[in-house]
Amino acid sequence: MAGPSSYMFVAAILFLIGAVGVVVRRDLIVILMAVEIMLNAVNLQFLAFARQLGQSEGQVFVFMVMVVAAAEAAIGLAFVLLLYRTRKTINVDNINLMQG
Amino acid sequence: MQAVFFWLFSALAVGCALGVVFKKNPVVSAVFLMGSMLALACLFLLLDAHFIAVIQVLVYAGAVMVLFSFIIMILNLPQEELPPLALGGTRAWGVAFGAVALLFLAGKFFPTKEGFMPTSRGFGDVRSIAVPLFREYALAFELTSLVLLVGIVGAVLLAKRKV
Repeated sequence: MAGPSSYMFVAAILFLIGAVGVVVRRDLIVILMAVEIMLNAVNLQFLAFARQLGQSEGQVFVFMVMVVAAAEAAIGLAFVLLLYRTRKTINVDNINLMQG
Repeated sequence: MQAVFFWLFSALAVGCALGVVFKKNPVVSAVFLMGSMLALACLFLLLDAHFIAVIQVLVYAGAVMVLFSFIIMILNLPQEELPPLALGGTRAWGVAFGAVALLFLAGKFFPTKEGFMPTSRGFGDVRSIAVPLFREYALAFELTSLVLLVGIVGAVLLAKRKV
């Protein structure tokens, strides 16, 4: 049987892959994708605990996370577009205007 | 039977997530991301979250992924302008961090044999989500509509700005 600990294990692995993706990649679009992976890992965790405790509130929270993730993707990709128009790059190493 | 499907879809989700992070071309990453979302939707089904699984397919595999592929097409980066995966040092440090954190987490959450407790009837259907959503969390629900409105207006304003 796959119980809560199995789901926690998989969610932790997915979250780590997302975190490593944010650190490792230089491509702003793929960094946003890695953030989506992390959000999905958290959703999986929420649903596993909702199932374990038999309460639907966890699913309500997942709903909220999805709404925020959709808004975040829209705004983030608009930023990417604007950034590409002004700086002609989506490499985060070249976006160093604010670097001290 | 459930355990077989759980490990199958988990392997699919994790494998596709690895593909997202370690493939150079963003189009390939986007397709892998879609695979990961769909595998996760199957995992949500195994957790009796039927409504959330449908929403996952509609919102993530549908709307968000279309947005991503749209931006990739609009930018239309030539192959040689794609940023490299990472510099050698950064990449090694990132992967090392991931491996250490994974070892730590594996010690904490190693999968055990214990299964889930049985649920009450109707768990995870539309009614069981709608009742708390429109009673205790009605204010939060209304605020999500504000978040989405700000998202739409902000995205249009940012993308249409003359630079």
